[in-house]
Amino acid sequence: MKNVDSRQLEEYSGLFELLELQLEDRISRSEFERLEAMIRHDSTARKLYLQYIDLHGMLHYDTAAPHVTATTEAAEAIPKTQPAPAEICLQTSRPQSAGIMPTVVSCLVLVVLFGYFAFTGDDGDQLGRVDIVEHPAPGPGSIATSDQNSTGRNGRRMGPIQLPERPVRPRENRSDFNGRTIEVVYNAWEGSPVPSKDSVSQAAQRVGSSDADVVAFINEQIQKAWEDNEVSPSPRSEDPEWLRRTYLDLVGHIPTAKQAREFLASEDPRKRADLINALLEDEDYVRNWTTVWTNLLIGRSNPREVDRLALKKFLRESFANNRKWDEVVEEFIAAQGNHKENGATNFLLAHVNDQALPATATVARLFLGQQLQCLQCHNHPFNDWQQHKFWGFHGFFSQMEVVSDRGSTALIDSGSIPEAIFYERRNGLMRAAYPEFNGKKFRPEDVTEDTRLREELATMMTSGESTDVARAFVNRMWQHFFGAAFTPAVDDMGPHAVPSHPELLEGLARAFVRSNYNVKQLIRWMTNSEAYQLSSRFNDTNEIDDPAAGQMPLFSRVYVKSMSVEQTFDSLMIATRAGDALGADWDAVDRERQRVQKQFVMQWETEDNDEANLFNGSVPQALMMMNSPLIQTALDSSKGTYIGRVIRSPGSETDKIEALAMAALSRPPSSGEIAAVREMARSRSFENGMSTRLEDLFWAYLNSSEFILIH
Amino acid sequence: MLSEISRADCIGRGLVASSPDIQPAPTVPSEEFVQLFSRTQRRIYLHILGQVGNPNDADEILQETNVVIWSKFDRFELGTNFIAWTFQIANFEVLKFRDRRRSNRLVFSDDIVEAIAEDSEESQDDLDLRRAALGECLGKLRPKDRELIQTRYAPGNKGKDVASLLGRPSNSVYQSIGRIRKTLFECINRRLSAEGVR
Repeated sequence: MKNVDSRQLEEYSGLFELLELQLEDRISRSEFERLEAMIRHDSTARKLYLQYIDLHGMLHYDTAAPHVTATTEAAEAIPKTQPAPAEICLQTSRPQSAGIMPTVVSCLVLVVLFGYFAFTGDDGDQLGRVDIVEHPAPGPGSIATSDQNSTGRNGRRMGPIQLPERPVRPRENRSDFNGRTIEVVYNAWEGSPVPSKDSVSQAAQRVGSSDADVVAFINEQIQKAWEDNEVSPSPRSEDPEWLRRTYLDLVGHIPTAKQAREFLASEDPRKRADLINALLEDEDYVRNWTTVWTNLLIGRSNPREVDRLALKKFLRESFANNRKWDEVVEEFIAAQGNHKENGATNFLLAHVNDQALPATATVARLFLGQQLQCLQCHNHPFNDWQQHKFWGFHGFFSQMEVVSDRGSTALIDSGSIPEAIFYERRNGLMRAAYPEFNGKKFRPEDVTEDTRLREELATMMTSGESTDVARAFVNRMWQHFFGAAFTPAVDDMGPHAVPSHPELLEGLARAFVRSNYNVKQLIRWMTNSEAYQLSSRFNDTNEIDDPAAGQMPLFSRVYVKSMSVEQTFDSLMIATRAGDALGADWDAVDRERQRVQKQFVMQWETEDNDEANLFNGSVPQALMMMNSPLIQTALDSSKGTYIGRVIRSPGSETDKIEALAMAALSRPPSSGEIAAVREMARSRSFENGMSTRLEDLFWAYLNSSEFILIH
Repeated sequence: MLSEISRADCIGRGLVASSPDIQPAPTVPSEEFVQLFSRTQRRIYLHILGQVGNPNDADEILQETNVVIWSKFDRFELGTNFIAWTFQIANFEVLKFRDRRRSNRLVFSDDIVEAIAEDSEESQDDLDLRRAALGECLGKLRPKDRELIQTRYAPGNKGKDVASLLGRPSNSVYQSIGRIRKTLFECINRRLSAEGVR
């Protein structure tokens, strides 16, 4: 069953209004008829109705009512309690040989009635312990945005943009013994074969050690999959397409018109490799990856007790010095000290709520590519991971303590010897878990007061020739550059998720370990590979290569990505030169960027502290950004802005059009675009015909999907 | 209390045959039946609620459905689909209820009820997950909001009652409750998609 996303919730806001009236018995006849009309033929609306009324029903039936104290054991215990009332019943009823059955039945009715009120919890109630709440869930007011902005400034309409829908995963239905259907969702690519472990490691170990060897290995592995699947790759991308993509991927924004002109004019055959090297040393490389990882580590909203700036400073230094990734990971996991002095502490500090359960889940997800959070309550439905894996992993964080004093916060290890952690199994039994990772267990007798469990964990996670830390990072980087990871979900690489290119993933992970977790080198391998040079357009043979449709990625083209909120903002700044107005004050720009992106983010305190990023890279949202006063000023041609300077410059019309195209899209204008602008300018009788059309053209460029997508 | 249910009651409710010579006493419902029954109560309740839209009506229909389920326990073959069997009974009871109430209340037309019943049967797989998610999401509400929703759903209460209880204007209370419900709804859906249920 497909669940709805927030966009759909908005689309159906009228339905929800009616449902609210219905739920509170305030609905009028005409409103009721409207509700009927809405759900009669629209199955999505009906589904939403059903889910909403189910919520209402569950709240009514048990969750909020006071009799929710029944536990799992109680529910399981029904059969055992059954004989007892039956006996009482027999004593109270008239003795009659043939009449036993009716009395038993009536007693059962009683049991049942009793059961109806008492046995309400059959699972899930063990989660009632979660009660640390400091952040309010934002109300719906902060969500609704895009509707008001479907037309832009001056009422100009924006073209719609099509983003690929997430596919429905292949699924298989099974029935359990009482006929209930169990849905099994495999988190694997459609048609992906399960490779044997031997073949994976053999191929992976063959990888040579020089940069050229690794790039050749990537090319060979990717090509093999093309041949196996009978697709031929898309053509090599044109320079403008590649240039823009590489800038966005590496430094987080588009190139300036000047940078684009220089690159396009160069005839050096090595110019792509040279640009990659140059961008890796650019200060915006550091800024970009700091942003990317800050968002991954603590999210876009600021959790309490977290010093965002200190974390960013730590990341900035890490990326600027190209610190070994395993060291960075170790620092995050074992971080101790004052949160202002040791920026790395802020990652765990952001996740110590709910008895640090989110810390466990987030460390596993981000650094190991493993989704353990479901295991907190039950064994993994799709693989053989057990609940104790979560709790064993969680045990490593049990020494962690947060000390707060007058605005200053520190993360320390208490030096206590951890006792067993007790958790509840689905059947209601309690189990004990000790810190345990990859089979190494820390029982109380193995631990002294000097043992630092987090350090032990960090060391274990990063030792070996092929680590999950390396695999997870390779997978994430691959997704960053190619638009699809090797696994359907980038941070869900458990045994149930079969990678599309197991040998390539393993080989890259090993090469990455051998390089001493050299981040820039890994980026160099990926961006210099043949696959990264390809165009994003389909050709006749590779239409099936579409991970957005659930197909296994073959990387026969570079998949289109949508820009992040930061990429969009920074690119708008570059294209419009809005920063000029602020001089070189990047801090001011940063503050404005923070302010603008806030409207797209809402945070949830959950086991994995996820947050909804409502920015989906669509044109109306980009437009919302343009409503930022900073950018509005920059787009006003009457002042000393870039667009104003272009319009008033002495060059020819074609030159001006070219300047705008280069600024916005890093490419020369097409002849069609030039002709269209001229045509429109002529048809206007008033004096400013051409300058108004140029303004329009710049707007059209910035509002195009060509601008908002990374292709 | 136990003696309150007499054989006469049972006969009156159609639970047992009034004449002892019609059939020999069948066996007592098996342990498994009792377990199936108690485990599926909520599902049946929600299945009914979807069709009638009102929790109290659904309560009433559930009771009637239960009476029938118990009276027919011997017709159920263990190992077959218990949910499907009880849903049939429930659907029939919904029908009977609608016939009784048709005149004085806003009720969905037959075709919609039918479609809803069908959808509800199809959506059974997710219910347990949704419920677990709800428990977690409730835990994440602000204490103030959680209290409000608890008051709203305390037995017998309605939005109106909450308003007078809190001494707040009813419109603002309706709005708050609606906002919280929507927050919960989104939270549940997010959790489910995070778990890979799509």
